[in-house]
Amino acid sequence: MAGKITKSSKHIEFYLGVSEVAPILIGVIPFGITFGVLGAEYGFTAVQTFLMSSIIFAGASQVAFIQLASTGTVPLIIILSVGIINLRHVLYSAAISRYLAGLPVKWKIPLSYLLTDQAFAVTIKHMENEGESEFSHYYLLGSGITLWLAWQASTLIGILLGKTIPEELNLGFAIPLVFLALIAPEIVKHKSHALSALSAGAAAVILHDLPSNLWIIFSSGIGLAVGVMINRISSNAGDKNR
Amino acid sequence: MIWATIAISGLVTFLLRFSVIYQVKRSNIPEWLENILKYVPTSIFAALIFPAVFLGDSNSVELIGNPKILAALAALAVAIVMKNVIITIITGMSVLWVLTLI
Repeated sequence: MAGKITKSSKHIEFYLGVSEVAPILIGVIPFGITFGVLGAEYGFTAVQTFLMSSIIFAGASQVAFIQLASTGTVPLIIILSVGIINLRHVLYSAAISRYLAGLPVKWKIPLSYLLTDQAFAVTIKHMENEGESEFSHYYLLGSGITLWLAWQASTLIGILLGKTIPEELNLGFAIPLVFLALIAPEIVKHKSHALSALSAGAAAVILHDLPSNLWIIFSSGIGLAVGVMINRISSNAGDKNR
Repeated sequence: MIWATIAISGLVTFLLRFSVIYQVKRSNIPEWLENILKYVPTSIFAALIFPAVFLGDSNSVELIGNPKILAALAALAVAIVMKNVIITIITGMSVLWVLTLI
């Protein structure tokens, strides 16, 4: 039956994407609500705040946007900051590109728009496990649309209620926990992944005060370099032992 | 002006996400690049996890009396054994809440 094209396999992939991203909403929804509240606090209209979530659709950079704009920062600097904060998405785009390579542009555009941290996290995991398959992009569509709806709805809730979920609950901590759950198996399996994670993490803590969230791109760059180097060293050593 | 800034910020964000996806037409990415890209999730997510765990409210490193460290370690252990996102979240959040209450 392998490779047989059935309508239901699209549905299965889509549904898998929806269901596997669902737990992440525990962390995403409080973040969206917080953003909705912040928008009003920083002097943005309800429509501006809401449409920012639809147009930009990248939480951390949206928060930076309203903070910068409210202090009278010139538009060019705001746009540059948003660009730098979201630079990591180029790496997501690259890492996921081989799985979307055969798709027409009319698919690539919406899927790119939906490629947030969380959608990438669950989708790349799914695709790496399943390998290249004809309908795996439906998984990204399912997880992406779910996150999109949750983000718009929670922004709206924040705007309307004007009240955030009590900070003491720390619900935002669910997001790093999800990332942890997704990278843990690789870290345990491969030394190169473990050292890559440790060096990227340590660098992120050390570089955290850099402006415009530049630490994200620098520390992940360090993690990439360490992972590749360790991988090369250990495979060379393996060759010699042979 | 604010609308233009929002629109361009959105366009920039979209183009960053679209950049490589658009260009790769067949899955013939060279092996050396594959070898780098497979570390993307590990590196970026570790970079996002560590500050969320180790930094306190004032953005300084908090090693002592920081409940998030134990919560993350418990979650990590569960993630390794169970390989399940929901159970990992429940474990991490429960440990965090219990330690915060104490």
